Order: sequence, then C-alpha cells, then structure tokens
Amino acid sequence: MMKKAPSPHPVNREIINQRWPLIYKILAGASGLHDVAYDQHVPDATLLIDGIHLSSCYDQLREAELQASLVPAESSAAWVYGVGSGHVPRILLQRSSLKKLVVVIMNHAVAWQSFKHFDHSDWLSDSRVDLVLAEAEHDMHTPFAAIPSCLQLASDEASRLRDLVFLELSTPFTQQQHHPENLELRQRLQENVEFVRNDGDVTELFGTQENKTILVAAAGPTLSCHYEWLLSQQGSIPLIAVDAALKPLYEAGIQPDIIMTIDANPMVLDFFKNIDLQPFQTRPLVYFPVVYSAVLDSWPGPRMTSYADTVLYGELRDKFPKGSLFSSGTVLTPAVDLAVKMGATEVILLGADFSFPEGQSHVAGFPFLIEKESSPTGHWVLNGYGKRVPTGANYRGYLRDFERYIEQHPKVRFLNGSKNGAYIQGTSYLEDVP
Amino acid sequence: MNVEKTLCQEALRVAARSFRLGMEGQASNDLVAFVDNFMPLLKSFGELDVGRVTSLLGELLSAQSRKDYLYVADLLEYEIAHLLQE
Repeated sequence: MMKKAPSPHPVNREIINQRWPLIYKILAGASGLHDVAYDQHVPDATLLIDGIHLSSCYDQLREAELQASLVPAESSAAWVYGVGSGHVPRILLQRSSLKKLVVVIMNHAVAWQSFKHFDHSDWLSDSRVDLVLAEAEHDMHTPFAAIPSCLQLASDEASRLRDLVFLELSTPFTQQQHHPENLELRQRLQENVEFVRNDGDVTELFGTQENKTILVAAAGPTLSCHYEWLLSQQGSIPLIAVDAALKPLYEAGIQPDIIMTIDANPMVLDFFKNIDLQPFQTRPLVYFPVVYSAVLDSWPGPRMTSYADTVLYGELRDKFPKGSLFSSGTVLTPAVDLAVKMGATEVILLGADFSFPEGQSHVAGFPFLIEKESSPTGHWVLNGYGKRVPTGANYRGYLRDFERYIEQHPKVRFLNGSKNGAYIQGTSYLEDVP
Repeated sequence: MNVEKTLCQEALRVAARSFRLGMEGQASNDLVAFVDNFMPLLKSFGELDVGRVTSLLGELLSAQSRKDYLYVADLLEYEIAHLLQE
C-alpha cells in the first residue's frame, strides 16, 4: 500500500539552496520523524507522517482553496503556517494584490519530506515569497492561513507559535461561546442581578498590597507539592485561590485569603460542597456574574463582583459600574490580574500547570480528577525541563494568552512554583531564585 | 427522511470545513452536531451499510483522537458523504 520516499525533488532543492542557503542546510540535516510513508494509492497522493496526513487524500487543491480563504482577498501581505503539499502558497500567489508571502516552516523534517515528494518550485521561486523557520518568529502574524497537519506535527521549537496559531483559529468559536446572545449566560446574569446590585466591588481590593508578594494557587497537579510551605507561611503572604483549588487546599489545612470564581459551569457548584465554609466568614469571594447563584448563596463571607472586559457584561456594567479583571478563559488569569491590581510586584504561581504532569488532570482532592494519558501523543507543551508533557487544546490556548498577559506587565516578577507543569514564558522558577 | 438527510449532509460539510481549517473547538462541536444528525438515519441503512458505517465511524474517531484532522475531514466528506448519497 505505502511506498518509500523517492530521492529529493531536485528543483525544490536547488531553489531553496540558492535563495535560503542557511535554511537549506538546516532542513537537509533534519531528523526526528518516526514513520513516513508516501501514499500513492489514493485519489490524491499524500504523505502520512507519524499518523498524520499532510493533506487531503482526495482533493488537495479544494482543501487548499478553503485554507487560503482565511486571507482576505485584498491583502497585500500574508503568512502561511506550514508548508503542506504546497498548494496554499501557490493559490495565494495567484492574487495580484499579494505583494509579500511568508511561509513558516513548523517542523524542519516535515518540510523536508514535503520538498522531497511534491513539486514546490513555482511558489519557491516567486520573488514575493520568503521562507522562514518557526523558531525565528517571536509572534504570529495576520492575515494568515494554516495547514493543520503542519501545526500538529510542529517541533518543540515551534510549539509556542503553533499554539498561538491554534488560539487565533479558535477565537471566533470562543467569542461565540461568550456572546451576549448565549441564552444560558443571559439566564445566569438575570439570576444574579440582585447579588451584583448588593455585593461589594472588586476595586475595594485594588491597591491594598502595594509592592508586596502575592501567592496565586491554581488547581494543577503540582499544587500539592507546596502544601508544607504554604502551611508554614500561612498568614504572612496573601494567598488567592481559584475556586477549583479551594477544596484541595482546605483538605490540606490551608485557608486562602481570597477565592476567585468566574465560570458558568455547573461543575463549579461541587467546588464549594462538602467543605465547612464558616472559617471563610471574613474572606472575600470575587466572582464574575455568570456563576451559578447557588455558589454565591453558599458563601458566608463578603462577595465582590468583578466584570471581564467583554461585551457580555456591557448592560450589567452600565447599570452597576464595578471593576474588571482580565480574563482569557481560565480562572487563573483573573486571579493573577487581581494580585497585580492589588499592587503586587511579585506573583508566585502554584499549581499553574496548564498540562497533565504525571498523567493527572488536577491536584488530588479536586472533585472531577481525571487520569490522563501520561505520554504526550496528542496535545502537548514543553515543561520546565524542556520535555513534552500532555495537555488539552484549551489549556494550550490559556497558556499562550497568559504569557501575553505576563509580557504586558514587565514591572511584575512572576515566579512559577514547579518545573513539572508547562513552561510559562516570562516566568522564573521559585527554586532558581536565591 | 430527505430533510433529515439534507440536514445531516449540511452538518457533515460544516464539520469537515472546521477540521480542514484547524478550528479545533469548533470542529469538535460540529462533529457532535453531525453525529446527532447522523444517528437517527442509521435505521434506514441496510445491514451491509451499517457494518461500513460502524467501521468508518471507528476510523473517524481514531483519526480525531490522534489529531489527524485532514483525514477526519476526508472521511466525512468523501466516505460518509458517499454512503449518505446512496
């Protein structure tokens, strides 16, 4: 069925060597693929690389036309993430309005295999084209088109860029989930109007910890590594916990000073069950008004409303003006933003793993703990040791959004408590700090 | 039945499009919508076709699980769509 790779396509090789000699050298020496096969016994021959089809087996041109359609018709510049079978750059270059096309290689060995098997000479020789390596790109660019197979096969060096591209691709869907027309969210807001009217304002906490250190506890598996330390310094450094970390911390004898809850997810109800909440009578619960009202009802201490900067809260914000916290899907980001707005110049992240170290979805004691695959065969990110660690598509997006947040706050030092979770760009490790 | 079939074919096209574009969250959602539309049609398939459908759905789930998104789109648009046309 499958055929072994033929020798490199000589024209591709010649053009790359002539125009991008450094890239040619790097590609020619690339390795790291386990299983490469060229399938000719399908209507449209393609490569199968480590279980991923590089392009459609039926109609690659039609597929590429769809992928290229993400670039608006009148664009003068565009980026293509991945080489694929070469059709996307080819189609885009048919546009006379396009003056510059940057094709980004997401994996040296994958690109080299494609250059071996498919004729790319037409677009490679087009003077409007620049070929670049993902690791040379600090950020992603728009407008762009992406080849999903090349993103999936991205190398370690290209993984951050891969996630940024996937994040951008998922933005319309995410926005739709948080659109004011979402009936479920509207219902939550409706149910919580009286809470918002009567509760405190998150801004009451702003500026209360100027130039201090604040701890932020997320519910990643590595949170439990810090229990002893947290117990030893309880009361001396303020601790903000996300709702999912409340029960695990409580069971370890640790009482956070502030709890953050933002999700319109019924699972959150369980984060507050089977805990004696009476010790929290003086500790604020900061919430977004889409949470279930039963969560707010159950809280014995002060409640403080916060909005996120989205249109979802526009109407409510107009009626009851209160503070906002940055949010990008995970409850960790508004918890960290709260720490920053409280005045912290140092934020220590605990259990902020954005991944499944040791095959665990969350820290022990989390009500919906799931055993995950411990090998990074699906989605993955690099951990603090530079090793791949499995993760979920949404965690990957949260991580990259969070890194952008960190980049925008250069005056704050962010320390990460563990190297076993995802490496978070812009953070240092607690253990490396003298 | 024709209306149900048309809705199913449309759901299939929408899901295939999201997979080809690499829109992961949207694609998973669209795939669920397709399966919801597709399952009621199963009873109209003959015994032989049900066997093919089962095998194709298995292949589709396996491809989705290893993130072979373009192949998922191919299976939807060219294999399962073909069965729906018969």
